[in-house]
Amino acid sequence: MSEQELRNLIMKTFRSKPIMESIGDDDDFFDLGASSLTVVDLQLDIEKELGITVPTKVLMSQPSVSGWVSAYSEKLSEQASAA
Amino acid sequence: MLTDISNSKIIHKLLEAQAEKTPDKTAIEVGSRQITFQQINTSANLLASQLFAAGLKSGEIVALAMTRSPEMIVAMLAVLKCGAAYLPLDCQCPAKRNLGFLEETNANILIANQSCDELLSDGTQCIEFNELQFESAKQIGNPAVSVDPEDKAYVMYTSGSTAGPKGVVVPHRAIHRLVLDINYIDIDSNDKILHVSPPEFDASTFEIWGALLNGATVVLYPDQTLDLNVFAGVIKDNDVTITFLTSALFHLIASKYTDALEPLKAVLTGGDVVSPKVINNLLDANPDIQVIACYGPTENTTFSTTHPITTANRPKSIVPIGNAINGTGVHVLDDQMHPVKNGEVGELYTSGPGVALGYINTERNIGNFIRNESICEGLIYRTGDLVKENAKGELEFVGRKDNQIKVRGYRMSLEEIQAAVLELDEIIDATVTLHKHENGEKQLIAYLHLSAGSELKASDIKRQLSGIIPNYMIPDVIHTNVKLLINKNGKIDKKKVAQSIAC
Repeated sequence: MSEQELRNLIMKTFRSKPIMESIGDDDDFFDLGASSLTVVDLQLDIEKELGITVPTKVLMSQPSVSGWVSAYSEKLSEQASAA
Repeated sequence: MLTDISNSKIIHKLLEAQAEKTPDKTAIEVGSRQITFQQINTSANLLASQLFAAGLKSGEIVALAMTRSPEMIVAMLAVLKCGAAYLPLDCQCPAKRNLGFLEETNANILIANQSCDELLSDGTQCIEFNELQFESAKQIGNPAVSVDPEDKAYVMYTSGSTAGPKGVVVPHRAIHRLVLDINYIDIDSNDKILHVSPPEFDASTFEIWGALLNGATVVLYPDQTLDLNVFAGVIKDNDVTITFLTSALFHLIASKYTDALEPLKAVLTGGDVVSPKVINNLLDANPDIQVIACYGPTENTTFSTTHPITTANRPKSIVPIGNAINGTGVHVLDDQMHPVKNGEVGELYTSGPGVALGYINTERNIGNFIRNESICEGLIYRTGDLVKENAKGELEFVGRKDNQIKVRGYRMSLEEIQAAVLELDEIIDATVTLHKHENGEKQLIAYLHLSAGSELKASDIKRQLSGIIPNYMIPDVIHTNVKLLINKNGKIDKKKVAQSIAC
């Protein structure tokens, strides 16, 4: 998956939530009203598509679309180099 | 000893008897670490002797600034062995709030496994208690302190109205009523119950004592952040059989991650109304699981009524809160305190050994903890919840009598949040509402009228609020541009707010 595809997937998943329907790349989703439950909800949806997991703690510490893109792309490249 | 009637409802005595009966059985598991009943009992005896040496007296309250850990459970046990009661604190909460609890409960000993300097004031002693070497704990006998089943065992705070949180004082016999001789779930010594709730939240009473007093094992969720992949891993790797989830979390897992619950025998859920659709989705995926819908205020010790669900009685339109558990009286009354007719809506009152002793601030008991011989003997707790009985004789939740709300499993009042917001500088008026999205997700939304020229941003306000109220009460969304919502008196108009949310 290219970084652009990953960004599109994350953006689409975030924007499916009413409170985030116009979220931008670098907006902090906690400022938009996301709770920790929203985080695990988004995480489940994204990881179902990607088939990889990233610790929730990491996702909480990078609370934006671009933050998640870098967290997941790091994991994807780790996997690619291990394969 | 179990044969001694006077000890049969005293929590630490029951634990001591269990440690004598099954000394080498695992009491606590966290990751691959296992601690036996004898080890926790011995370690608690040692800590109890330290607490005595620190001057702890029977009947006092000891605060626990501890994260979920074997040491925390040993600390609870040690406090009980001293004839004292424990008060679990949430150290993520503002220090101001916790200091208020310490003051109100006169707790001057704090047991901590994390930094808590901000909670120390003159006269408060802190006993650091972490990374205990259970294997090498010095062998000393059980302390001989006389404790009565009516003595207080713990204090937990629940949100109140504008007057702030209320400390609920729970005695030994109320914990006993929740976890022994019970009819709402089978717990045997082979069970493993997950402790994942925050320790200051009363579901932890079920998780910890429900396991230990039945000779079963309590498995600790190892982290402060909930990570569902870790959660699923713990259930699988530690062979957890029973877990409690707040309704919001249950909804999420039972609709999107049923695999995580696959190994479980039973899942209990409560805190808010549960959706039939979600339960059915879980039963489709895991037909052998039992779902227990639980209802109960902290004042009646964790659970009051339950409704067990399997594939044999799938819910259709509504999930009832069910029937009273053993040792619980439920009374559906009208405003004159007379029983309502069958099927009519009334306010729920509870009675029996689960009823707490009252609030730590006894002035707040008035109207909440009552006595009325025409209803039943003993103390009665007025829940403030409206219920009705269905045709099967099960209770159904209808709503709240006052304007308290439940968000993320926590009870709170919008007024309390509003009062906190108004404490901040540059805020003229505020109104806080609860918005429920179609997917069931709830959000607290605050509308703030800022003073002229104020440049406060939502993020500044959230940061300031985190110094006054716990995180779960901080509004999710903060609107500061409210010009259109202000009425001619300069106040935020609630009707206009409601209209603006609706569109």
